[in-house]
Amino acid sequence: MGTAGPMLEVSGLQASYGAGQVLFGVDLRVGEGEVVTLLGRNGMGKTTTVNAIMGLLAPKAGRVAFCGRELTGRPAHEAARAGLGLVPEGRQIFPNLTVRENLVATADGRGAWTLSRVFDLFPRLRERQDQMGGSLSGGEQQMLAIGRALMTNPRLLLLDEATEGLAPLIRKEIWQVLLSLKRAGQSILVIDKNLKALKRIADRHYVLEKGRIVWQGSGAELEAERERLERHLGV
Amino acid sequence: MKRTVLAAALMAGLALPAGAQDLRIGLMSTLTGPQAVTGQHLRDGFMLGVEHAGGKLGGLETKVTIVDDQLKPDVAVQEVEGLLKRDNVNIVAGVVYSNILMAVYKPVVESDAFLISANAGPAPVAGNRCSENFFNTSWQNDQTHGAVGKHVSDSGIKKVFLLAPNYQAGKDGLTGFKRHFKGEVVDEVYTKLGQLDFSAEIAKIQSAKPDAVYTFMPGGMGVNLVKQYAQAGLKDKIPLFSAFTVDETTLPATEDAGLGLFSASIWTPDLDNVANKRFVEDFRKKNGYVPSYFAAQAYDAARLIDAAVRQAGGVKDKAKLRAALRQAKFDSVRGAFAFNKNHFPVSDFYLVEAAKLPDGAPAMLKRKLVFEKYADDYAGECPMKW
Amino acid sequence: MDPILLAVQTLNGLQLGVLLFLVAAGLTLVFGIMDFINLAHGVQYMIGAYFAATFTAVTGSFLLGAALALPAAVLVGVALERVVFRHFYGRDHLDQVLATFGVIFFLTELVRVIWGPTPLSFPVPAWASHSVTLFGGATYPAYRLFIIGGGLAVAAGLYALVARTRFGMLVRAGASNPRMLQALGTDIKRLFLLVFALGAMLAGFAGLMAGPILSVEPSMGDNLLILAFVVIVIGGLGSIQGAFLGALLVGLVDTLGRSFLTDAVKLVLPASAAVDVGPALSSMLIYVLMAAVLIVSPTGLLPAKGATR
Ligand SMILES: Nc1ncnc2c1ncn2[C@@H]1O[C@H](COP(=O)(O)OP(=O)(O)OP(=O)(O)O)[C@@H](O)[C@H]1O
Ligand SMILES: [Mg+2]
Repeated sequence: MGTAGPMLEVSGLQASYGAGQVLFGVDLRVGEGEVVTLLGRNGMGKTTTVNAIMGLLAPKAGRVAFCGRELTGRPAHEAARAGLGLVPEGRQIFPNLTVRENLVATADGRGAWTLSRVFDLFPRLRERQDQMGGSLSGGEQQMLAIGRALMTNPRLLLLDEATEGLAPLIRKEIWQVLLSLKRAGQSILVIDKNLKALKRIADRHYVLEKGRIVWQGSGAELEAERERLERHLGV
Repeated sequence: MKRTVLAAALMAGLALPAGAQDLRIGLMSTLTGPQAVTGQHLRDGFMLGVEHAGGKLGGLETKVTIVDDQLKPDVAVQEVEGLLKRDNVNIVAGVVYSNILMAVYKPVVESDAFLISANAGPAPVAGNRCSENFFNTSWQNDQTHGAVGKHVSDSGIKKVFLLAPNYQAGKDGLTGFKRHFKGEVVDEVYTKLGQLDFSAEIAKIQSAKPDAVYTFMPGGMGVNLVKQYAQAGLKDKIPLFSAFTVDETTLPATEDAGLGLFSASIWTPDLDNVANKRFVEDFRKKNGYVPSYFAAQAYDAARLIDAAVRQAGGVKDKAKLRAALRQAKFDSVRGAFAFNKNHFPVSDFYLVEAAKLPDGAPAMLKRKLVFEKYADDYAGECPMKW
Repeated sequence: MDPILLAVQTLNGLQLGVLLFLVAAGLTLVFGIMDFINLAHGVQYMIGAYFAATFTAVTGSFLLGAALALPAAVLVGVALERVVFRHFYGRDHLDQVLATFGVIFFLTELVRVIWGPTPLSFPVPAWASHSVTLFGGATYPAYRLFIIGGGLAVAAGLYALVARTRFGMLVRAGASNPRMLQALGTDIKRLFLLVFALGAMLAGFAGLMAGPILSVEPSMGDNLLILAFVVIVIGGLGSIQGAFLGALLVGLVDTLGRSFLTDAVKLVLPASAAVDVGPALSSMLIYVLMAAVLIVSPTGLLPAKGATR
């Protein structure tokens, strides 16, 4: 864990959709170079947390700070420019742009990530670079979504549902890539249901239940308390 | 209610010396929207007429309430209700468009007020729906079309192509033309009301090769047609005749494209009579533009009211005022002025050409007489006797 | 059918289509990307014509006048966006309709106050005021050919901008998923403003091109706006290619319909009835086209959000 204080610091985050409150005070931290997971059953507020961090949803209360910058209530493009790279739930690639255009349209062009590095990471994308985004398979779309986020040279990658609904072979490929990213020092906040794979790459875990963090700890601690936590995790 | 009436009476009493009458006129014109320029001409013409009477038509203190019909019949009806009930007007004058006149006709002629149209002259109110409380100082709509038709026929043109917007006035206009045109109609094309590009119609004209084209295309539609017709190089090849299309309201926009085109009218700025000279001169001085027939007819309406009210000794006796209006003893800018049995004037119609006044301003100028003392074709259907 | 007439009418349809495209392109971008219904887009067209007519009169040169009118029209567009429209993004469509309708009223009357109610004179530039003799001896106004050429050139430039540049990618991405685009670092408000300015410029360009053949008057954009909406519905909301295809279709169908439908009706009905029925049918034709397209493809011919280009 980094010593110079956390990179992302979320405290007391509350959010709601209209009258229905979903988050009731979420606290979490991600340090430099860390891979952290956010676990929880369906509908517990994981995506809402991510959206509130990104500024896609204005929080009701609480605070989001990233690399010492106050992001609470700021528009999403500021969060992105501050270094948050979002791979959203449902992938949300631009269907009417080619693979290559999806990657370069929002690239920041000032960091280490280039088109060819992304293509090296996901060779399938290189083959399909002139294909429209909408014509890709689900797995390819997820690769594209990850590549697209990397092209913004994020300091922290936010992955909402990293492998949801993908074929086993593709999942494997994606976990492999995430592992290599971690090894290269990339900080990641990842949401997924695949505990086994997550445990292999993650440093720490948070468990979210009904809009509150109900547990946090290392992979070993998670294993030790697994039976007690099973109910919260829904796995 | 009683109190307000009393207060109004008191106020009226305070404002006027005891026993004096005043004259209240509602002037209805189209002052907003695309056709506002015609309404502006009408209003300015009428107001000059009031001014020439020293602000006192018939010697009475005159209050003119100007209302804007927005070229919407429902708005016009509302406005006229206000004029009749709130302003208690003696006369509603003005009205540029026939559909507006038809909308306000019944409410006004069935009230205590007179209705004096300075422009619109739809067939029903000249014919069987004529009224003893309605007068017109312009013409019946068909007459101008008929006059052009007669001239086109007289000048030996055999084949014409007809073009008008697809609405009642468009169809009536072409019917009026055909009544006096004796040759062959090679095609009769109706365009969407408000259409602004006539390239398709112009191509059809080119392909049909008529001897002449006759059109009724009021307002902006006409400006576009005239410009595009000239741009297509047809102006000098196939003469374009029209009614209510090329006039002083549209010539500033069509400029050279409109010059040399022929139409018909009861009045032109160059008509040689004393009243007209004064009217045109003062109008241009005051308003800074050349008046059109809209202005001239409205000026005549004001002069008619002036003469009649004076002759009737006020507005209290409606029958007396009606009799004076019928006699129309005023110097019209068109020269002699006389009403037919249906309260429409019997006027001379001239062939007019878009040309330049001596100072270079474009205007419709008189070329020759087409109809002398032309009574409209619907007067026979009007049961009124006097 | 007379082949020369058919050819001339096709040119006429093309010319109308090109003008429609210029107006519809901005409308569809603004609607597709910002989900904003801008009824006042027709006013931009009108203002372009007024500026061009005025600047042409002042400078004595059509090209100079046009060069001054374009930035002026963009300026008005940007000012409108800043002062009014941006407060209505993300609001109910009805609010947007009401707000932009108010802008129409305000600007139309303002133009009337400044320039007067009489249509402005805007002569065809001398170098294009002649007629060109085409195949088979038919003549065609040179200026209309200029409109077709200029319009197609701008359409090609716009296509290149949208299809080949980074800005174009952002525009297309914004048309399919503006929220995601923002989450990837694009300042969507700035993009909106740029798109708005682009739309204002295209509409202004259409206005200045159309000015010399149509009369320059405050209401000149009203009719065109309705047609432009038909175009973007046919083409697919937010899609430039769709707007192009839709505009040419509407231009051709409307022109050819006006030209030949009455004659076609005369084959089945007596001439006097055909004269009534033909124009009624031809004025409905493009709406029939729109309905037909919507039945076959409810999102239009080339929707922006679809998976296919
Ligand atoms: N746009 C929305 N409007 C209203 N309620 C919403 C909206 N999005 C999510 N919710 C509700 O908020 C709660 C949390 O949803 P969220 O998507 O954050 O859950 P999640 O933990 O990401 O679930 P999943 O694992 O299914 O993705 C759910 O009850 C959901 O129904
Ligand atoms: Mg979720």
